[in-house]
Amino acid sequence: MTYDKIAAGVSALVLTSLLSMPALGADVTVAVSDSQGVALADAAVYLQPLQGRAPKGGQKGSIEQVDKTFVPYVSVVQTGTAVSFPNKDTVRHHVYSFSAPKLFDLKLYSGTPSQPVVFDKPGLVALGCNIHDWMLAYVLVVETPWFAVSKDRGNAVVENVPAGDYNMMIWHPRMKEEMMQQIKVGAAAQTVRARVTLSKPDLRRQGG
Amino acid sequence: MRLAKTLRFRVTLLFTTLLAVVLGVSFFMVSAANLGIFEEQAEQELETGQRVFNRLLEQNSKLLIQATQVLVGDFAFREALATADGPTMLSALNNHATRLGAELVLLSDLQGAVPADNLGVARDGVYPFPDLMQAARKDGVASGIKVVKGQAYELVVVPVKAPVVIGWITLGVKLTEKVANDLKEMSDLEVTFMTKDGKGGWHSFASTLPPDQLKDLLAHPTHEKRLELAGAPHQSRLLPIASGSGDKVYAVLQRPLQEILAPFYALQKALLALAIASLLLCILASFKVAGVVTTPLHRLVTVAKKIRDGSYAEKVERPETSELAELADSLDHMQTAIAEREQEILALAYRDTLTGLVNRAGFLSELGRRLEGSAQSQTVMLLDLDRFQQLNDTLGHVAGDRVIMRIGFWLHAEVARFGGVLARLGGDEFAFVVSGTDYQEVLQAVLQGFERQLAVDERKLDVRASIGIACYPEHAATAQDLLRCADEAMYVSKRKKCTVSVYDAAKRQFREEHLSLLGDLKEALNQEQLTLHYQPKVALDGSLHCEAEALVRWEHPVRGFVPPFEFIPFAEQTGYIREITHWVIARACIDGAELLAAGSPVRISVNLSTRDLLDAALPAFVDSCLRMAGLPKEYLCLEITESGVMEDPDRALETLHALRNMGMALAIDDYGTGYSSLAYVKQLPVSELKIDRAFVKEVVESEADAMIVRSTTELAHSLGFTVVAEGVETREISDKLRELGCDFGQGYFYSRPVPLAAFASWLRNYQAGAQAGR
Repeated sequence: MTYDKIAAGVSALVLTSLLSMPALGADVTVAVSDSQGVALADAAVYLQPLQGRAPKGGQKGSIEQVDKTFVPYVSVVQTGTAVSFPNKDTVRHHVYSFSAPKLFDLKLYSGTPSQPVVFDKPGLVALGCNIHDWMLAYVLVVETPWFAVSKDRGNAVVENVPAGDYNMMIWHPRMKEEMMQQIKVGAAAQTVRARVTLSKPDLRRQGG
Repeated sequence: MRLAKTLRFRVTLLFTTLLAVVLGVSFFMVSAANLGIFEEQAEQELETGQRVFNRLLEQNSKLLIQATQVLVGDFAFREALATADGPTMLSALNNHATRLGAELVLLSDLQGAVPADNLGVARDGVYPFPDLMQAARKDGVASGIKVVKGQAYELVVVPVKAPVVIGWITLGVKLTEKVANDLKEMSDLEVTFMTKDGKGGWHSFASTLPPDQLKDLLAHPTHEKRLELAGAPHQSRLLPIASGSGDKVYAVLQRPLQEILAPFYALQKALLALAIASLLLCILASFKVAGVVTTPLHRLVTVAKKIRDGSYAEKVERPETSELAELADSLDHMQTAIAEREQEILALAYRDTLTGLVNRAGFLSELGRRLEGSAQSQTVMLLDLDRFQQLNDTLGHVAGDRVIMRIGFWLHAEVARFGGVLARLGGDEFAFVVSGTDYQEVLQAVLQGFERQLAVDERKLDVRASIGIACYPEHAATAQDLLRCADEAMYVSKRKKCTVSVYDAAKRQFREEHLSLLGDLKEALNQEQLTLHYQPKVALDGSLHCEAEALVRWEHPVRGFVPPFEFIPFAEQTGYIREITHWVIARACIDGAELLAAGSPVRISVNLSTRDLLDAALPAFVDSCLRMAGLPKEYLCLEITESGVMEDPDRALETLHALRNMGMALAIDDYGTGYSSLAYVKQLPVSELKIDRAFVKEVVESEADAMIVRSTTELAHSLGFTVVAEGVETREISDKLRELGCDFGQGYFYSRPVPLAAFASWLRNYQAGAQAGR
């Protein structure tokens, strides 16, 4: 996997969000590290306002299949987002999910399937490929537009968060359950440090 | 020769025993070592089998896991599980489980609920194998053996991934006979799956054992490494194979020991065969080797036996072994030496050293040769010099020897002329043998030879011989008998003073009778068949004085009365006279004491024989007899003959002096028959002289006899002797004797010898009559 591509994917997703929303708030940078203090990538961070409802955000996303790997590994989308699955490989894939929030399968295809998959219920969806057992990706479907996924240095930057009180939720595939922390967002950008406990194995495997 | 005592046997036994011990020890050591090795090997094989078995079990579960993983990887299956309802899910599960040959299948979700369960093993919807689940959560998959509804199952727990774990599927394959047989095929071990049932008994799920052995196993399952199953010993392992909680399941792995130890027994047999073969070989070899020693030994023994039997010509074979060769040489030398020495001894044994003539043994052997070698008749003559003892006494032994030599010399010459062989039989006895029975010529030559005087030490001597003749085959068949016949004939000559007698077979019979008498005589003494008769010795001086001579009488139970001359000489020859004399002395003492007590004191004379005089203990015996009977010694007189003294004068004189010193009266009997002179008798410690009946019988008719009696009596009186005349048969003789000066007369005229009672009454009559007659 190349991190460049992951970064490109993530920025594409973030970009669509930015386009759909006015820049009203401050950026919240969450520095995620494990219990040893090692910076943790692929951690999903999202903020749920304690008052009022979060607005609907941009409704498009994509998860590519590159080198028989889902890119990105962890995605966060707001409910209602239609995610496309462009296949960059020369082999075909059969992407599926048996997760309750979204059951689907995209029978063997190449290129980008005509219909994107709309994730309309919040929850965690595990994606697999029926012909490449090792291929695994997570889509965390949340009901807030303020989310981000940490990069290699462990920083997840949630942009344009309006001032107010939030429940900051952090999830990572190796965590048993989501971690919740209340934060107050002001006018200025801030950095929050978060330490999470990783209790599950890393299920990612490299296939042929 | 008993086999067990032979050298050969012992050598063989020794070597064989040694080898047997060595073989036995090594056999047992090797056997023990082998058994150890085999058992260890068997143990290792079982160990290996056990590992194989474990590995197979493991593989079985791995295969099941893999198959299950393939199953749960199936998209449709996952789809069915993720989407479908309960019944569909269950039928899908059953379908897939059947594909894998699994009897048990159940699905559990992440929360521990059991949405599908074909056998209904989950009670109250709770997953029944929490330990397996825990292991599966930890390791991704898990497997184990469990008892489910009374059956043993190989269970696997595999996650259902989509692609993250969305549930767990548990599949179970029953442990059937087929499984056990498959395992047996691969591990080469008997396999039994079993468990303890609720009541503590054992229950088998599946087994490759035959039913009877399985029954035994279930009856006594133990952890022991050896088990007896239906009489067959097995190596055995009891392995717990169930994991975690729940009923314990055991796999019992076994191998029959017979199978394991088969090569050991084969080896054992080979070893034993080898041992027996080498023992046999050893027996053969050592027998052969011992033979190298014993065969020559046997040959030497044969030679030695021949030497023993007097054959010295045997060639001694020289064995190769040096020691034995030495022995053989020694034997050879010994043989030669023995032969030489025997020649010498023979020469000595058959020769008389004084005359150089053959001796009695040589003569008998020569005689034997003649009798055997030809059918020709032979004549043996035996010559005994007359009065040679006297000659020896008067001239000395040296002169006596010279006489013998001279006679031997000319006799030899005479006999040789007739082709005869002369021998000196001993003392003054010669014998010769000539062929044929026409012996007159040689006899005449011999007699003429004795006519010549011999000059010895400047003395002229007349030597005469008594000659006995016996002929073969007329008189005897053997050399011994022939010589004895000649001997008897010679004695006849002596007795009859007739110089030459030819053997008379009639007399022989008489002598043979004597032999049977010997046995009888012994009995006679024991059974008191002997009695004493008394014959009076009457004083001729007119006084009433009377003495008596005790004469032994033998009343034989069959023969009746046996006269003394028939058994006394015979008793003298056999030595039995000693016992008779003792008896006579003892009896005479008792009788004398009786007479004394009855008021008729009579001196009793008892005859002593030649042998008695040689008995040094006689004086003591006489003394004890007198004392026991209580008879004063003056009432006992002992009579001896001249010839009796002559036999061994020194010893006889010793005895006589001893008796005389005791105060015993001694008398010379039969005076005049021998050749002794009064001068000689004078030297004897005697006090009485009895003139032989030969001179008395015709004393009335013969002037010469009267002269002899008169002169003898006078001379005897002058020497202080009392004179007794024997054989007084008539009054005329009695009167004549009184006239000639004899002191006592004895004979039938007065009385025959009579028993004691008769003698006592005679004595009373005589003394009364004499008194009356006076």
